[in-house]
Amino acid sequence: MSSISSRRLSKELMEIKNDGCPVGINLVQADDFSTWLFTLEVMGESLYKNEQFTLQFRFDEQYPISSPAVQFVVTDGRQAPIHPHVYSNGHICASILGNEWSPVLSVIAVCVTLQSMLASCKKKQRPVDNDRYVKHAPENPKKTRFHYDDDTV
Amino acid sequence: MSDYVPTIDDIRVKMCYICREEENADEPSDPPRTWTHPCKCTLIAHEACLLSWIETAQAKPTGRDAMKCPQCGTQYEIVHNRGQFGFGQRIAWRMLTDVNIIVGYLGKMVLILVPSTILSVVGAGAYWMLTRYGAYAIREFFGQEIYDTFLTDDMTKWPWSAYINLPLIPIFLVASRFDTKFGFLPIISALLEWPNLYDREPQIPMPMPPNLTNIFPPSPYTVGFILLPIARFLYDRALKRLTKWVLGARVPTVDGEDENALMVVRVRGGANDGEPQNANQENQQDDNQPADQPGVEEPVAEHNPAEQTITIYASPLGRKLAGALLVPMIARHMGNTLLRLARKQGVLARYLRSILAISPRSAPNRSWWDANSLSSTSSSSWKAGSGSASPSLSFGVGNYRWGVDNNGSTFFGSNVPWKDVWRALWGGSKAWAEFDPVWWRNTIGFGLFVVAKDALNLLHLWLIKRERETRRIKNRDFAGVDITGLDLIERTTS
Repeated sequence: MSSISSRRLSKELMEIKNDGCPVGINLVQADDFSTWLFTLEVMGESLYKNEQFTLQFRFDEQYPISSPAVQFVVTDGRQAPIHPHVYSNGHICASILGNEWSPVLSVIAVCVTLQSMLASCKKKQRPVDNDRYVKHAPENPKKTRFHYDDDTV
Repeated sequence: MSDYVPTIDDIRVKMCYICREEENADEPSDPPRTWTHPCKCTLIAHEACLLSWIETAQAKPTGRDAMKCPQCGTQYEIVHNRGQFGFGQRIAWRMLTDVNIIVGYLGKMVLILVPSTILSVVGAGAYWMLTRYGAYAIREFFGQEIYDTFLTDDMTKWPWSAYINLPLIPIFLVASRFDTKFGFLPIISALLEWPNLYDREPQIPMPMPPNLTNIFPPSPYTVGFILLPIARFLYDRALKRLTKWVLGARVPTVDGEDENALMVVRVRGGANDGEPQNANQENQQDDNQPADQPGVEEPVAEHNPAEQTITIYASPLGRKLAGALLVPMIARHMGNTLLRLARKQGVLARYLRSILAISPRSAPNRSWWDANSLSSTSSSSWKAGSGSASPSLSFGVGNYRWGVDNNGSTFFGSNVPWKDVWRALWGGSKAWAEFDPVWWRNTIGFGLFVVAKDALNLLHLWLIKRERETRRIKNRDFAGVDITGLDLIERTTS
């Protein structure tokens, strides 16, 4: 009996293959139902013009009841975008990945939300507690209890 | 068919927004799965999926409110099948859940209560210690008899104001060592005890010849509020002048930056050192308090190389504390010493006796002047005037009182001749005069102690200064040193 996550993920994958990804988002790797990779670019005039980032999704058995673990990849020379809600180890402080997650969201929806979060950024800076957080950060960002600050950044 | 309202079963292709699975109306799933449309928008879901989502989200305390539709925000409603979850079961579930919540709150309360109980016990212990020290200080300073009359060792007999004033005494004592602005506070604290004197007046009605007023020794109020500040001011000025003459320096200060120092003296400089704080002061009820001038607070001067700084390190904090707390004992010992000196024979002793107002008998209750002419008639004349029983509660000195008498009506020194008031203010009440003025000689003795201490201090500083001035470094010749490297002057061979 395949789990709810594999059924849902295969549906999402089919949708992506059929309908394609939104502009700036590209599927890199979706070989299994545990880890997916996307590339993310911010379109139009933004602070992140011509920058490409890699986004990693990790799913567990309970997806979509439980939220996916999403972070920017910082290995092999890749960097996380400099944003007040993105730590230098790639972890993201976003409410939809935490207490605002709902099964009505999807992988593409998360990508689009993160894209608009980068696009609306006014100033490139790291989070205030970046160094302290990165020193003691868990491997899985879902283990962190983020405080969700203002959404205006 | 205008009032046809479709339900979930009328939808041709249903898609669950949670698992994204579709079901065609023509091909129902086998086994059949229940669908639900729980809100106002078009989102529908398998009942099982939705229940699973709600259960998971509610388990997390910070999860979003899963009972709302994510799209339209409508609250979901949970219902139970009567057959499956009967009335009795529902009641029991409700009760146990509520009990669980209540017990949770109780647990939280205990978490607060236990530390606060511990803290309050510690606080009570501290309060008790402070209060006992205050009582001890009163006994040391005012003498055993006054203490026994008005306070006694039995805490239950104390007037209510004792519970406030007594613990304040050690606090004010220590505070006044750190900032002499507070120097008057212990006095106030101790003196505030004394309005209650009037409640305890000895019940023996003394017939008072009206004209005799004794103004010596002055009452503690006089001493505390008038004499002491004046004496303090004068002494301080004198000390400053003397210090300047001996050392060529201003008053010894404690430098703000150098916290370990007991005293820092800038010698031959003359620049102001910021707020002067005498680190070596004792203070309490004494009339020779070297208080500091209310601050000439100029900014700290540049370090002048021409001036020297004598810094004395000697663990100032502990000494300050000890000094403050030892004040009553020192005062008592000095007072006793003076008493012993005064009891001897000789002109000097007689002179001392008159100053200290010591009676020929060591026993209390009789002062130096005639026994019949016990002092201020104030209270008794007042008594005669009013005629009523002594008031149950009153404040004030002598006749100048405000209070409530036994009948419950308030009075305010109404039928009081003002002459008596003045006498009372200056000379203190009859109650005061009855007792051996221990406090007076203690005050004087303590003052002498302070003078002696300051003198010794000044001597020490002066000696340090002398030592520094006369220092030289011993000179050696170059015996044993390799002189080939030295560039020597040609010595003309004689």
